[in-house]
Amino acid sequence: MILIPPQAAEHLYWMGRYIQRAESMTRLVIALFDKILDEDFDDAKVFYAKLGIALEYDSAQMFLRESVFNLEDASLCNTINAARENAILTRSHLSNRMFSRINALYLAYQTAKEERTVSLYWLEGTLKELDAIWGNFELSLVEAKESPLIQLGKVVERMDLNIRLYDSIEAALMDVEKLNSIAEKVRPNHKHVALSSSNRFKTLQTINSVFEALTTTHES
Amino acid sequence: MLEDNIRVPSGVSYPLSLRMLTRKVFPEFFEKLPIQGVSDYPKKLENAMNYVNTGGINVILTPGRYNSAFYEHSYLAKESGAILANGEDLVVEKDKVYLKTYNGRKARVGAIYRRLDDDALDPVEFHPDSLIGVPNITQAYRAGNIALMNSIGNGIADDKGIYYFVPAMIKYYMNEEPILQNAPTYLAFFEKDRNHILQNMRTLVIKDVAEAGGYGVVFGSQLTKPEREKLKDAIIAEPRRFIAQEVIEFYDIECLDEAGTFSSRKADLRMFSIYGEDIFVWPGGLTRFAMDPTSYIVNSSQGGGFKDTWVLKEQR
Repeated sequence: MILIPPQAAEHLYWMGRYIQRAESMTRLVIALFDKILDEDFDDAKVFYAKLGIALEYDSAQMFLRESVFNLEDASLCNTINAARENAILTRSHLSNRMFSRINALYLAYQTAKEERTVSLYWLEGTLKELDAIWGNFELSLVEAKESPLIQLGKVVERMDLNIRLYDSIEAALMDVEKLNSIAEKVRPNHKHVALSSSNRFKTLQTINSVFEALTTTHES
Repeated sequence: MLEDNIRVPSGVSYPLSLRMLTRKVFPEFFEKLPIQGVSDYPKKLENAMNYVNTGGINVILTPGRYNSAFYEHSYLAKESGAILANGEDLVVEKDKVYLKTYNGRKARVGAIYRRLDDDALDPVEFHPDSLIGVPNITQAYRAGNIALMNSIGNGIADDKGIYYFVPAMIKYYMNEEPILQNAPTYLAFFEKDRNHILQNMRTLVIKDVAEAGGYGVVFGSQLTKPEREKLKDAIIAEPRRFIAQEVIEFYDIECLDEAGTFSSRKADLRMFSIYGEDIFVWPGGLTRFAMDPTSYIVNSSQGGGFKDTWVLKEQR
């Protein structure tokens, strides 16, 4: 039997979500920085508006500072903080290497925030760290029994962002099989998730309720 | 000996983590000096939990993320193989304790290393407002279905008023003289001692028996006259609440300060032991030092620092 208490399971799931969110949003910020420089100056505002976030900037560098440090609740810095907080809460389930990589990324963000320095070059470097976190996770035996929960968070976040950011239910649907396969590991005999491409809101709701559906019922 | 902590105090994980680091950075010390290994503490903890286990898994019960020792709880759970749980992760059914798991199943718990105070442990039996305890765990304990480390009530020995009697206890129960001497201590509860305290407050350290973590410790020499009078009144009103000790000079330890220079700090040593099938005294310890060069307060909760402690093997 896999012995993970409900709260720890939730934190593992959210750790997976936040790490994936950090990765997806870092890639997006890098792409938007290029767009501001080369194509449409307001493109980043449009993208962030899709997430319900009002973003103001008067230069590409200011966009970088805002998106990385200053956006309340939605900055990359806050996302990394949230990933680390969940890692602290599940530390007894993680390998030292996994935790120290997440912590190192957090510290890198804190240092950059204190020094008020951010560059595209630096941001690309953080992507390598995020790759290393996922790579370490794939290779580690320590996280083996926890991995379905972290993977569930990762895939749910990716599907969610594909719909919210890119309006691509099709891209999200490509992950359904994977989602069901991971959900099977989290809770054998779970009812498979079926998604249709017709209703964006319902699809988002279904994806985001998978974890809850897998973990709520308690047998006596 | 400045005080006794029968409720195992926190802090073992810090020298353990530091030892892991220093072995990597300064391997030559560990190669050349006969320094005793300390890495087996989590294994000894696990053995003790297994020994008292009533049938089920081992759990470390933490008050949660915002407890100052959460790192330690998490570290020990990971290293000892126990499951780290909050109060709400555990449930008592038919006088047995179970760990709830995310997939809906429950696992019987046989031993709990609890890091909660008695007051908070069981809202049914103790503080009813406790949100971090496990309702009815005391009943499961009474029924013999769960082992609690530390057991309920052993905090009485941490009461600084009890410390006064420990040398007498050693003589009574073991018919031996204590090897380590207590600091000369006066118990305000006794009239003779109380008078001595009231007349010599300037030279004594006065301690509130119920406090911990360096709180409630007052150096008489540092009080103003009104403060001293106020404390005198408190001692007269509630003599059971106070003890006083002669000031013991702490060991001075060299520390590298923020300016990059070495200077002396007052330090004490916290040792750790585990009583399972047998008594294990850990050949290491937590050396705590005061951050302020003029202070005797070494508690980490008040900004104190710490060092690993090397215990050398006996040369034969």
